[in-house]
Amino acid sequence: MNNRICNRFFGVLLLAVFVFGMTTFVKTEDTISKKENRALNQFEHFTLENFFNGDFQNNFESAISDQFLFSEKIRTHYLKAVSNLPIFGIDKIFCENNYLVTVGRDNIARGIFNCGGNIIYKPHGRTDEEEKVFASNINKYNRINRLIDTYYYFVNDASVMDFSKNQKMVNYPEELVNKLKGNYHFDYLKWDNLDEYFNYFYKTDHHWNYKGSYQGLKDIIKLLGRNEDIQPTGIFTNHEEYFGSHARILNNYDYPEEFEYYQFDLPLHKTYINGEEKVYNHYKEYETHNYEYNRDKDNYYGYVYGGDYGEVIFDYNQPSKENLLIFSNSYSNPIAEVLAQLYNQTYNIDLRYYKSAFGVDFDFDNYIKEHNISKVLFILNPPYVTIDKSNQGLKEE
Amino acid sequence: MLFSSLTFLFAFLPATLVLYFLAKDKYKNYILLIASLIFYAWGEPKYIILMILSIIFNYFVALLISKNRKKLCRKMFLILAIVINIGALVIFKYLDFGVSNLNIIFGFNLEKPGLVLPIGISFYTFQILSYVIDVYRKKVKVQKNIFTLGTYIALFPQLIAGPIVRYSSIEKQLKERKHSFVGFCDGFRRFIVGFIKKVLIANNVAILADVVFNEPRDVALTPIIIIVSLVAYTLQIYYDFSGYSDMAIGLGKIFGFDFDENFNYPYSATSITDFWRRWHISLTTWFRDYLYIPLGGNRCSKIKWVRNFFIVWLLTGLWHGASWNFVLWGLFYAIILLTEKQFLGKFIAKLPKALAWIYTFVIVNIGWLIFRVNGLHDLKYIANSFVHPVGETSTFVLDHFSLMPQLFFVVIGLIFMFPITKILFKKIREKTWGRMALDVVLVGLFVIGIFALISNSYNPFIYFRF
Repeated sequence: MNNRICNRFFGVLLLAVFVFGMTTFVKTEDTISKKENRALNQFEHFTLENFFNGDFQNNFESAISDQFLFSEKIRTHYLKAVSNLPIFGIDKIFCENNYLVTVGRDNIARGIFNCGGNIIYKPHGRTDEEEKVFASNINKYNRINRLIDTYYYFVNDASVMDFSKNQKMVNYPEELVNKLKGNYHFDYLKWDNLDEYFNYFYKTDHHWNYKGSYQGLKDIIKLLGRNEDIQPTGIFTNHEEYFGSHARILNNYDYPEEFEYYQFDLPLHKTYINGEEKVYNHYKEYETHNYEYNRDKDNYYGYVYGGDYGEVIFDYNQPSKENLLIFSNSYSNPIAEVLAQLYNQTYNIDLRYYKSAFGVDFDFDNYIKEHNISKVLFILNPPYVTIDKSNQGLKEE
Repeated sequence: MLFSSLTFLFAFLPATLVLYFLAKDKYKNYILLIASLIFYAWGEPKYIILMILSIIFNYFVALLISKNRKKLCRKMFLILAIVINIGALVIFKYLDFGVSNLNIIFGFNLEKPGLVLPIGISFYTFQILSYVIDVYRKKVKVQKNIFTLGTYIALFPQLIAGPIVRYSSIEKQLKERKHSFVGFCDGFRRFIVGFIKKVLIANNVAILADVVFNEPRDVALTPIIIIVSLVAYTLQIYYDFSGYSDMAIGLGKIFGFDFDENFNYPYSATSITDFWRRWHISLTTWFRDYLYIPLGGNRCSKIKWVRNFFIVWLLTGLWHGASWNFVLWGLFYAIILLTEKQFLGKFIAKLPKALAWIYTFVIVNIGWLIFRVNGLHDLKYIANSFVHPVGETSTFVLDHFSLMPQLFFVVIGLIFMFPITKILFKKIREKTWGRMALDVVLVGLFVIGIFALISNSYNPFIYFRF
């Protein structure tokens, strides 16, 4: 009798688990994970071809994992729980006054300093694949150098430096100067040690902070051969806790910081995002708290400054001035709109998203003709020069 | 398909269970056969033909052995079966190894065929051989229904990583077996125990072991790092393989089969002889019954006995993989076991249990080091690093700090490698509430394991490659 009760009880528990798991196949499929910033795997249609080459099976497992009910929350809590497991005092034995590495999935493990709770990239050089892409990108840049006056501004991030030894893993500025050819101008954000790095970058985000981006803006204005001095009118933060990209990816919310930015008086202008007239930045919303806050998801850097799009045109309507073309990734977010006031029209292109926005690859030669571009500015960082997608559509020499 | 995959848990298993239990008894084997072929094809679509051909060939060759009354003919058919089955194993598993050694020894420039190893070929080949040999020895009756034989050969619970289930042990169950809710629940409990061993312990300690053993030249190597990662691997291979066996036995129970035990707390052994009575029991007994005893076992001259011993252990090593370190691993155990049987055994028996256990555990760890390394050059490098450390332990810890929480699983693994659950739960099980509480814990850990699968991509079974 007792046995029967136990088995029935066990049966009910099992049934609950299996029914919960099998809801995966009946619920509507999710398409993206905002938290992980990636497209989720979806169930593929069965064909003999994709079954015999194994694609169907591989995709099926990934799709169940991604489409599982509450999978995003499950991942978050599971990884957090693992990272909080006891480590038997190893941190105290080995890591005092040194840097630790937080728990994350293997491929995204980052360093975390115990001095002030800064989460930064684990230092790394270039892989063989990245070497190839880097060489290919240099060829692309050199082709552009031959066609038009080109300016390169490089932003070193923490990945280039092993702070425990204060040793550079890769010297990108030197390499770029040696490898770029033709009509080009070059400068980079200068920092050489931990203190200088922390001055220019967020504690938990891979981007430059307001000081770093403003320094970048000043350097770029000088690089472009101009002598205007654009001064901020103030610094603003709404004091909401900010957890940058590293914190969000690592699911580590132990080190909150505040998101701060320089305010500028921008002349009236129009902004076109992927062809539609819109407002780029969300300063107003941030300042008035007019947005829904979600600690795990809120990317203030992207949200407040404006974010990444295939094409953003800042039209200050100053026909006497030149038109500028900027190629960059999210590093241009805080400065493109501000810099654009020095030009008639500024075209900010993120080649990672251009094709998905317009359905065609970016055609450089036609673009500069069509928009009467006289100067091209690249705002680069290590991933920009080592990832093929960042330069998608540009042609090699 | 892995048992510890979401596809198996939430698609394959529920569908198979529903169809199996809805079907009338006479159709149950057909359902199992079809499910097993789908299970195999999921991982190896192209080799499903090999599996089907193997079933057909062995069905007919066993019939020929059974029906022929001339001893010579029977023997000829048996030899044919052994040659074909072992031949397939050799071609898929050892051809590359043979070719690369011929190239080294004779300076040839032969191209390696590079065939993909069919999943579980080592396991199902040995199962098939046990059937054919037992038919020859008249220990079992020939199976006249090809679908029933196919169900035995392809039976998905034990198809790809054992235990090596002999036909004789499930002959009756293939024909007629009882199903009950009690068996179903006990089977699931056993399956979950194996699942937890694999997903929560083996997968986690594996991360520590892999960092050192995958690329030993890329990390700092000091004695403490080598010991910790080696213990992690020792735990990984046990929880991985015994976890799989538990899942297989549990699934067997759900479908009405009783598979023999494959592990009996091997790391609690107090001698190497004792260890091998507890580790991968289905393989060691297979070699004993189908190779060692036919060679003469120990009922022959001492020289022949030693020869038999070395042949068995050389082949045990090679069964695990086509590489010299597996050969060395087999010979290592042949020497240790011979030494124990000749003189060391008596001495160990007199030692305090704790010392005997330490001796055994150290030897077993050394064995797994030989087993795990990627070739003899890595073995030499790691052994050398033990004496002349490369880098600092602190550098390793800092560079791999993200892996330190996995040490928790090493500690858990070390605790549960002893039969403490048996002792701990014995009294609790006597009470109804105790059993219900244990079920809650078990299902809770099962759910955490599922969460781990969703969160981690790291999930390979070690014994697949055998």
